Amino acid sequence: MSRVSPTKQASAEPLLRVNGLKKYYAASGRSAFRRSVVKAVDGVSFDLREGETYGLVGESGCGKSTLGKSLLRLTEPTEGEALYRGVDLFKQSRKSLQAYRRELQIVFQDPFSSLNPRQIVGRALEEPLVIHGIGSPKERTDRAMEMLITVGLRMEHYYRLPHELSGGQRQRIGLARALILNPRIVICDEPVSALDVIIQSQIVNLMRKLQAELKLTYLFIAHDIAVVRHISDRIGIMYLGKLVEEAPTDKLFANPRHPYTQVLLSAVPVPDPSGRRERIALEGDLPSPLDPPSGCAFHTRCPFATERCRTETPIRREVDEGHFAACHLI
Amino acid sequence: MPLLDTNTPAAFDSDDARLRLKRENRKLFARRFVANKSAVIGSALIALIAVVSLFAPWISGRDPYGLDVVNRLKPPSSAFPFGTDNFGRDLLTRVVYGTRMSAEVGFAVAFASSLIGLVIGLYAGYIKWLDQILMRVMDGLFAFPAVLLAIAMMAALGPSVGNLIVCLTIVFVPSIARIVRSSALVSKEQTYIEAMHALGASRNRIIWKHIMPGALSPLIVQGSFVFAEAIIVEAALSFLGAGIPAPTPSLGNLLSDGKLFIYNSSWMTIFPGLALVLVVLAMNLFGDGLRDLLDPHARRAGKKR
Amino acid sequence: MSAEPILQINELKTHFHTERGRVTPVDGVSLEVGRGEIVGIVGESGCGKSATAQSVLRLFDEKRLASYEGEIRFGGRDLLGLTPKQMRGVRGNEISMIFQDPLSSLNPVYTIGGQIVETLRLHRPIGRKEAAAKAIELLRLTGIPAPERRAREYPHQLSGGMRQRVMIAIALACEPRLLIADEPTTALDVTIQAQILELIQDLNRRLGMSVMLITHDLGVVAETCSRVVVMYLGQVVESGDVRDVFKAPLHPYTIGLMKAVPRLDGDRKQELPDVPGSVPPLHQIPQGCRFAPRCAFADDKCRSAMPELAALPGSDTRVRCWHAGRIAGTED
Repeated sequence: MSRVSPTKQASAEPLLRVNGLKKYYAASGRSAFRRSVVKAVDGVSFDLREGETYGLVGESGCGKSTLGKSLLRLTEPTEGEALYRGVDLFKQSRKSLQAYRRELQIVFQDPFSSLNPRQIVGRALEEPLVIHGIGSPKERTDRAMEMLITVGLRMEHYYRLPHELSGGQRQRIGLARALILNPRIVICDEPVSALDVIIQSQIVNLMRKLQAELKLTYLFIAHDIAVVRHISDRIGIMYLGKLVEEAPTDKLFANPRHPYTQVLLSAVPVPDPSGRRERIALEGDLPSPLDPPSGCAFHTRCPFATERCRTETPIRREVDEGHFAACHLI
Repeated sequence: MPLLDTNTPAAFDSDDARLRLKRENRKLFARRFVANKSAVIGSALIALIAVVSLFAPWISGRDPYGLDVVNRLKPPSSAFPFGTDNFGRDLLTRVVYGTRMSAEVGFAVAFASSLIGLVIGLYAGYIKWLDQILMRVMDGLFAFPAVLLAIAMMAALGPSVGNLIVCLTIVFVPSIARIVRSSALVSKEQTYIEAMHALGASRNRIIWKHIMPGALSPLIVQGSFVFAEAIIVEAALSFLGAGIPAPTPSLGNLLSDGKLFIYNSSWMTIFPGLALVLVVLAMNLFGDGLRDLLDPHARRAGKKR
Repeated sequence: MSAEPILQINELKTHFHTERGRVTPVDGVSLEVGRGEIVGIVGESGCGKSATAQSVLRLFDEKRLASYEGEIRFGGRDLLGLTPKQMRGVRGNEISMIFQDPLSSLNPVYTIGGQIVETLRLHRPIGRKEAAAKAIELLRLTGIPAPERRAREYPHQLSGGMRQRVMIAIALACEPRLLIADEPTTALDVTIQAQILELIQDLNRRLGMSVMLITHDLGVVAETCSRVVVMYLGQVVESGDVRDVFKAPLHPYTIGLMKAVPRLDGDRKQELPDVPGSVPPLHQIPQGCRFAPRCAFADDKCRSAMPELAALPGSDTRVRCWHAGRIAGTED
């Protein structure tokens, strides 16, 4: 299982390198005198290599969506850098960022609120072209029609309003809107979690097809590790704002090292009644990010926690080639 | 094959079916409109008032300023259906022209304050630091009773129809701005606005193309209430002598003229009073009905999954 | 499982009278829930699984929106024949329901304990003090740590998983014989979902309470239910023992659903098999078998005539498909 496919090793320089990304929110806490800070993303570093899909998995509140949005500066990061082909996106002015907007795009989770309910589909698809001053009205319309076909819809959908479409169709439109500018990186923020299982697999298949055709690089953010497994080359597991484990997909599933990853894997219900397994029981809830635990953030729920975990923050180490984990017990 | 979203039944996809759906939607709206008594009665009355105002010269045929000393303070009769006033002017003619004047002022105020309120509300709703400034000013204006504020401004500017419209517009801008702002605050949080940011859309484009349309229906509803309210305040100001200068007939002026003769010639008060009630009622009913029709929550009732 | 089921739904039809005409989200559903059994109802959104559950409690507005046909037998009575007042005595008392979103099902201005006490006193003639003690006991039963303290807290102070536990505690207040759980874990994270499912199973075992579990997640069904009912467009297309159905699904829709679930094992590089298209809207129901336009097995017969829900010879699984025999044969 230690085989690494050659394409992923090919490019030495990553397309996007994220270094020590932090996003803190000032929270209006219970006491007016004590200013508390929510560390939504707390020092995350990873590389996005050209042509790969990096899956980012975690439960709600772990900061995975915030991370995705800060990369596009939809929310301003507190600290860190994001080097896109060597240029730090976080240091760009609003104006110079505009050029990079064409290269990095995003697909949102909720296919219902991510489209303007008063705008027909065609106009929604042309909007990015208008914003960036691309083409004549006629060319834009042609391009929009072409994108409709690309994402598996038909030209007549051009005139539809979002409420006339199903959830899956809307998500296809969201995908088309993100792809119409020919981006290199697409950040997919829970793109299938609002969809029914059959529609979900249709969209995952479509995304894989488009990735191959259009040479896209995906950052695939999701809470469902089974879906992520089907699309990702490498996976990062997030817990309370930190990356606790990162590995090529096959390695991660064959040999999950961090206790949280193991728990996450064992919690996924398996559609096979004969193979009901023993779960690793997980005590309690996610701690409040307002008041994160000392030491290893996972120690309050970890079945293996020791005294050291309570006091000392574990450092991320390479446990196998390309396989990183932050845990004292490894 | 599975990559194609094939199966929505063919009927649903043809242009013919689409047109049918559109027609059906229009029919549904019509049915809802007819079922909404407020909207129906309100718009019928408004149509009536509009016709009367537009065709004022043809309805009475008399001159609203024409003095006729012989026929002073005549009670209603077949020659003078609403009677005459203390100068012998035909009251029906004056009520018709007065209604027209009041409706004109009301419309002008509703239109101007909607326009200004829309701009202020949108920018206040979208830009945080601007919100602090604009909405504090609006709150300041809101703190005065409408009539008091209008009187103060009219006293400063001097009575004329133009000044009255300016004053009333200033008085009513805050109520519109508030409504638009709250709608903008809601739209702003929608994911599609975030998507526009991700695409690099400019602030003005987002505001006017994506946030403004959502504010339109509450704006129209509020505008119709402002229309009614402006007519009342106009009448109050004119009654107090701070509005439209005499002898121009307006509903407030007519009521003011009538107050000296209220015991002996009550028709001078009754008919302008009735006209005022009718106009304001029409606008309010229309506004209420419109709100019910445009409110998405009301629309979805009885259409659950 | 004794012979007499606790809930028996016979040919239930629920009609909605909308501005666009009448639609029937539940169209001739027959199913039963045995004593002490957990029955899973699965299907995509729009398949009528939630509408079926809500029809059992008659939660739809019968004055303006909904009308029912058929029979819902529960405790020797037909629930559809009860007066609104009698029905109120059933809801929350003999049959309880929990929903997907526990936050909006809890009243934000009352404490957790207060809401349980209220439910108790609504159906039982017990004193405030006794009810308060029972409330704490119920919170403990649902695995809430420090129940005495939690009882004094408000819904917004709890996490999603805790709120769902509180909802379950409220549902259990009157010791119902049947719990209807409508997507109880859909809004929760997987680790929390596992806890809640465990709790439901545990309560089912310890209290002998029957459960009707509505979910879109086949994994949830496989792990918690003893029987499964698969619905499509308002109809039952397949029902049977969980092990049988998962081992050898007979309806093409069930097969499609199962294959579409991404798995933790197997070849991940392969495309996820899926069923083409999506569920059509209720006012555009296809002729014949409702699944025919999306089905790989469909022929002219499927497109013209609706198959009955029936068991194949030698099988306990009931299925609504003309080709079930062929599918069963090819499965061997």
